[in-house]
Amino acid sequence: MSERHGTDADLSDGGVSDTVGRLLRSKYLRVFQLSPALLWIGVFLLIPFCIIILYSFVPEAPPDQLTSVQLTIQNYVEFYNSSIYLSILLDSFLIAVFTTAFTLLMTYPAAYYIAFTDSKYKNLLLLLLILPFWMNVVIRTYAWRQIFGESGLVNYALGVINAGPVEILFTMPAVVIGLIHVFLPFMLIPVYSSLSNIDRSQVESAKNLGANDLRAFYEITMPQSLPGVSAGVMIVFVLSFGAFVTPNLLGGQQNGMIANVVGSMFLELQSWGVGSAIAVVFTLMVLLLVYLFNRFVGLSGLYEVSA
Amino acid sequence: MGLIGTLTDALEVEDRTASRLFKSYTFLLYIFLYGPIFVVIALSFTPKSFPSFPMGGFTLEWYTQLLPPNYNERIVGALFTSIQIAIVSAIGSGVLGTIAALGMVRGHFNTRWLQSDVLYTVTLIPIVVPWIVTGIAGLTFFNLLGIQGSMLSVVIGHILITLPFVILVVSTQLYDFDRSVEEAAKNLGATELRTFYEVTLPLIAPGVIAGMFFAFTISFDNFTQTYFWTSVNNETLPVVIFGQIRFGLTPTVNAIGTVIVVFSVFVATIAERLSSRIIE
Amino acid sequence: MTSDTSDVIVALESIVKRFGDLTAVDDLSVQIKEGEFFSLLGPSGCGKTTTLRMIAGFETPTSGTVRINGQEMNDVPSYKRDTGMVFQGYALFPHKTVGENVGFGLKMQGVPEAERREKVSETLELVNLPGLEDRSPDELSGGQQQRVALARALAIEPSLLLLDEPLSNLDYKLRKELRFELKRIQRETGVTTVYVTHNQEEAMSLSDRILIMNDGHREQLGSPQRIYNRPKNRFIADFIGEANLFSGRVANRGDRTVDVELNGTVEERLTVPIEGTESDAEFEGEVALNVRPEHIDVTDNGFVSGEVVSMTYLGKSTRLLVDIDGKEVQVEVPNEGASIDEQQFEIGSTVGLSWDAGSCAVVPEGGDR
Repeated sequence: MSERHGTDADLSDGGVSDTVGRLLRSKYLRVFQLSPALLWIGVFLLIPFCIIILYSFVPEAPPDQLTSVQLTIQNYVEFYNSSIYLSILLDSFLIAVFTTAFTLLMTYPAAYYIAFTDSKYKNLLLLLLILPFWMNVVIRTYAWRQIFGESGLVNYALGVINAGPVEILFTMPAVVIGLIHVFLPFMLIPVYSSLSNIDRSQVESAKNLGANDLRAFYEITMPQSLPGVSAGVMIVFVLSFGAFVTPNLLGGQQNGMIANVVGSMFLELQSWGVGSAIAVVFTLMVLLLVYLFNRFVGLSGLYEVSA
Repeated sequence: MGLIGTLTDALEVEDRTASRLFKSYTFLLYIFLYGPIFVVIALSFTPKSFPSFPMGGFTLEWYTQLLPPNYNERIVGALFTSIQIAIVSAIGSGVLGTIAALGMVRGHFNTRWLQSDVLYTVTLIPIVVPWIVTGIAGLTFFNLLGIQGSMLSVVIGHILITLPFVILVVSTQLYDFDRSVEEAAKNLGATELRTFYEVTLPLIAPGVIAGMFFAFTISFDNFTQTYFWTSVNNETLPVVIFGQIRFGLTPTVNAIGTVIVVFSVFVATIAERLSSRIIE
Repeated sequence: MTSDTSDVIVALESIVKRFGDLTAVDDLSVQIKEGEFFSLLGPSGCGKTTTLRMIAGFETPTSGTVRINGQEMNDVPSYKRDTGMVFQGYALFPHKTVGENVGFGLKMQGVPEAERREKVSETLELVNLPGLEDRSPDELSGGQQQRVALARALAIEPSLLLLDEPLSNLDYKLRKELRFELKRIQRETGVTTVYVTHNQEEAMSLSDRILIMNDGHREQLGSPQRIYNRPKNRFIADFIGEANLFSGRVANRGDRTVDVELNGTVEERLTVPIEGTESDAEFEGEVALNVRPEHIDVTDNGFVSGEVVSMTYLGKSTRLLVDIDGKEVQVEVPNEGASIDEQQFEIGSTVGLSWDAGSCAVVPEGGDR
């Protein structure tokens, strides 16, 4: 038995390191570790959102003094009465639906191919498909202006074969295409993740039992890819419903989406009250849709699929 | 056999054809994804003062706007602002996120309110909330606090946006962490703090760094939320670019665009490499 | 329990450990003496690892006291205990060299570098890995990693060496080799060792005393010989070595022996010694006798007889499975004197079995206990 240079009979308490040690052993440690991040989210997102809710009931927000506010539903009435805003809200919803649907259809086959390929470039292919996720959304949208513009790529190509110039920029399809381009990686990641987790020997077993490729896909692969699909659909829908940059740059005055309306309320028009009201309505709509979606389809995929 | 059976039988396609179809389709998708980027890059070299087709030549003049002696002050200033904000945000969310990930992965949460699933969802909130909402919510809050438009407010907001990514990356790595090395260290006399410093931190470092690189990229590239948080005094690069696009379309935008795309991709690739080496 | 406690290094006093609804360790009391090689043996889930971790300080007992060197340790964190632990997966620090790994405990104690280096090289020599200080753990083989883990625990010269199934990740041959090394090192250093395993061969060959655990309970504590020859109950008889249980009835009970009437083919009364046994059996009524396969002889006039069901040639011995009234009895017969090609026994033939009364043990009839 040797002495442990001071730690032998030194079992008694005392000193800073002991207190620290005891703190770190306390059962509240985990709560302490989580608090900063959770507080950050609470203070800088949840509370501000409450302020938005508050402002939606304040006619001339931001108010000079918080204490002298009178709550009315005037902002909501204004929103409800304006046919433009309502129709933009509806249009945004439709755009989001189209975007999500097309994005899913376009992404799925590619995700499937990469997930099941044995090519040695598999990781490279995957990386390349995800990289656009890290590219600036402004630049990516701007790029389409140079493709759809009057003297853009499309018209140039058409001109070469002597076909007339087409007007795509500042139309709804332009916005949808732009949105699809921007949000494709958001759909790809969860769908791919789901597909790649499927045990290939299950598919082989199905084939062994008599199912052809298509049948095996339908019976085995597709159902198991649903968690990823539903996660992707959810994310892309919510994000495209609230899209700002793309409709702004590609849609022009006529095809703005609800986020543009809200944005202009807060910036150019300084009507924070009405803007807040619209934002609240929009958020409620999104929450309702997410809830309904979860109810009927389920969001378990969101957890399995991260990272 | 049923409807499905008949359908799938009828639509059966030969293996090789199917595989070729898939390959070509995926190839087309890549063109869809990268084509526009290449258009931007290509037109950054056009000598015309308005980026359009046909290109009509090749010049580097728009890139010189980024270098002395005649560099565009506004753009370069915004570049530095973006980088500063991104670095601070990455460090901030790196620290907060790592600590939170430790708490989340290693805690046993079974009480009614504090459940693992719930916690996980809460940390994901900043990613899933529509960007416009985060933007205006932040705006009103910063306005109330009197820091609207300040650099501080942008940093606060960027930490908010990047936090979920850091938590995600670090906690994924933490799930696979074998804690017996920590026990061994403690057995040999290291206190909890010493164990963290000597053993835990070095081993989770790659994941934390990867998370911080991701955070940097997201902060650097962010537009929508930032648009509502910046003021004329401290514009970030994406905000400046947006402005340029709206008011004056010269290939300068293409040049800056090319630069930041390449830069972001570079940083993100490093981060992907770092985090995939862990997943292995 | 002995009243002389001066050489007791670890004392567990009525230890209970519960995880929610699960009771992992139930009222365990045991004393481990200085310098002994003490094993905790039992099937998976019996609570042996939990017990070890309580001694190490990674788990706190739900009730009861853990004492090391006489001092109460329940609230003392692991880094203040004078123990050195070898983990099942070795838990070597992947980002440090072998030398840094082995010297870690000394570094924590504040030992200066030069002295550390010397001690590290000394300890590496002790475990037969001289000169590997600068290697990285992932460059080493499984057996080498295990020895580094051992060196790391020994370098701090702890009062107590704790090992959690350290050999279970190694292949058979390596395991036997390292087992031998382990015993040598323990003898050389004289460190009190607590060893957890589910492998009874290991426990038997290494230990001075073995504590057999089952379901969180203490089943039997004793030397390997004692446990092997005088198992307390059927569970232990079966867990250590192989059990052959024959039922009988106690006819007479004496101080040092008991007369058992065997329910065999032939009426036979055996005088079985019970001295020093801890058997759970009450020495009256129905009991069972345990006989080890190697103690059974094949004779013409056996106590019991039956048909040879299978025969396995093992080189130095032959294993027979004999069917006695529906029960399978294992018999091990040495092959000395048998000719090379001739088979000693024939499957299907009837043989008689007998054994020396002195080599059986009385255990309770029926059930696992």
